[in-house]
Amino acid sequence: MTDTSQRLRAEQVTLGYDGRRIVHDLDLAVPDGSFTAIVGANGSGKSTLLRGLARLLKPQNGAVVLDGKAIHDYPPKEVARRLGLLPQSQAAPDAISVADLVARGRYPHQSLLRQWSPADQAAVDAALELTGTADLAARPFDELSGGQRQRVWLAMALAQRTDILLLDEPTTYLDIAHQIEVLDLCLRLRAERGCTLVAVLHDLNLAARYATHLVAMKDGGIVAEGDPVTVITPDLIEVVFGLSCRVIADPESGTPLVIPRLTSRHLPERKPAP
Amino acid sequence: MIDAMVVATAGWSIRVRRRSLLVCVTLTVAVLAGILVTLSAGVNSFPVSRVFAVFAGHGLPAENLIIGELRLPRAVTAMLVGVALGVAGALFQSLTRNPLGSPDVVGFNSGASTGALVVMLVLHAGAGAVPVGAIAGGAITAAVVFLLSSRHGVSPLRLVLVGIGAGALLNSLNSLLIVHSQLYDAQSASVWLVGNLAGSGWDEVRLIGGTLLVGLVLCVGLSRPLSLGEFADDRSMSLGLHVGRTRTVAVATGVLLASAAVAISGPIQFIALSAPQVARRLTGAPGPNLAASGITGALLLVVADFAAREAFQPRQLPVGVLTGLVGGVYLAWLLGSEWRKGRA
Repeated sequence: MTDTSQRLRAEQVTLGYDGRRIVHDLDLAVPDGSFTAIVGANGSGKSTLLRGLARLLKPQNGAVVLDGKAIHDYPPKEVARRLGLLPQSQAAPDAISVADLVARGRYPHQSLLRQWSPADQAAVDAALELTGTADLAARPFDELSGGQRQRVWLAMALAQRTDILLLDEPTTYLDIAHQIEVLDLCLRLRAERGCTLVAVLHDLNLAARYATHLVAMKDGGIVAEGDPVTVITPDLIEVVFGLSCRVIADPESGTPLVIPRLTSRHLPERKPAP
Repeated sequence: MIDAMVVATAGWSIRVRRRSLLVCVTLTVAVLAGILVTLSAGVNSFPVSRVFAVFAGHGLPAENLIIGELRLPRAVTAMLVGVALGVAGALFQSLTRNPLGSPDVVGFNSGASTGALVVMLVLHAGAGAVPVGAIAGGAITAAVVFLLSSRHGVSPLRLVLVGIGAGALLNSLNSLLIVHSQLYDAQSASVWLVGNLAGSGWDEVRLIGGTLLVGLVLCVGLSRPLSLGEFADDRSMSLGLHVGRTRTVAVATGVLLASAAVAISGPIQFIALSAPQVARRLTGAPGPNLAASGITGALLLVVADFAAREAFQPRQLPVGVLTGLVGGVYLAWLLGSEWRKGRA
């Protein structure tokens, strides 16, 4: 095992579909043990970059390097034992139970003649426990609510037992309480298991609060990265999102809080606060 | 928690669901009992004891002829063709994540028929070449349908739609081939095209049995990857699945099994479509349910062929007419329920 402090890196990577290039010559080193959040406008290449880091997309140029070797040089199962992904897709087999679904997360650790070991059972039980889905285990997945489903998907990714976990917009479609719940769980993983997390996030303020490392993308490249406290400035938001804003300190956490400036003359009229 | 049991030693462990195992064992017993019934009952009926006497080599000449040489190979062929169709249906339904994605709906059986008809009517090659034509026809159809329905991976719904279109086109082509052939050829081809097991002998058993052996060995390795393939591609790839390789092997296996079945018996409808659905309801298990689907297919076809043989005496009905009738009703119901779910 190499002892670099960045097991997952992108080196001069160019990613895209067919002829189109979406991410250009990008360099990124994900600090080990970090919660790295990738932010940027729609179409800036965040999810494409994440797909590249997860080996789902082969770079047109450059390489994604995992533990000192190009990720496409590993067999898929070998990658899946080191690096997990929580994708956005929701499709699940018909009539599958929660326990069965989470158990499928053990696939990379199994083979035709090693279909179920005590380690598999332990990993599944721990994943259900950690995500608070143990009491849903016998339920059919189709019957769950959106918040429950996301926790179950997360349990499946946790059962995979990887040190690195990539999350593609894990909070989309969730209400604010469930967003906090999922992000709190991510912090727990980092604290208790020493996981490295890389998440594409839409909510800048939550990204600023939860991330230890922030990557801001625009037009397929990285504009700024580092500690969210220093990275998030009105100038950066202007550049990345084309939005004029103020940045104040979050009264709860002290992290940057982005407040958009008034942009419309048609906002509802308010009485001045007393 | 999970209704599964693990058989394990130091080096290996196999995991099976109790209910799936029970269903498979029960269905197997039912298939064997069904075969016993088709051997003994009918217009010429024999006590079961006489069937065993034939097996033991003590049968009378008439019994040996009817039970041993006419009924037994036909029943075994029905069983094996049923397994092939059931497994092929389960493979394709799992691949397309859609109960309508069976080889008899998406045109692969029609393609195999076209291949067989070309061999019979255009090339006038011997009966031995028919399976080759059928498998080639099925494979070419599958390749074209998959090519037309893939862009960044195969879209299951597009595959079903393209396949139904291809099936319609190939069915017209099949009619055209028959219309343009000699009267005698046309007649036998028409009967074949309905799907028929009458006259099956040990040659048929050997051919379908050999193909099944190859197909089932491939299935052993496919079962677990396929059950992962029912997730979206992003998720199954991130779990370490070779999505492309799994899909290619599964399609090749499914086409091989479906085409071999068509080559033996003509395109018998409904079995590939319904067996996996029946099996899934019986086992209650997610995933392709390959074993249960195959055994269900065997049971359906053994029973259907017995009914086709005896129910309309003194005439024998081709089994395809019977399954076609039942299958049409079932397909209409399935389309309706899928439509309500918003998937078709």
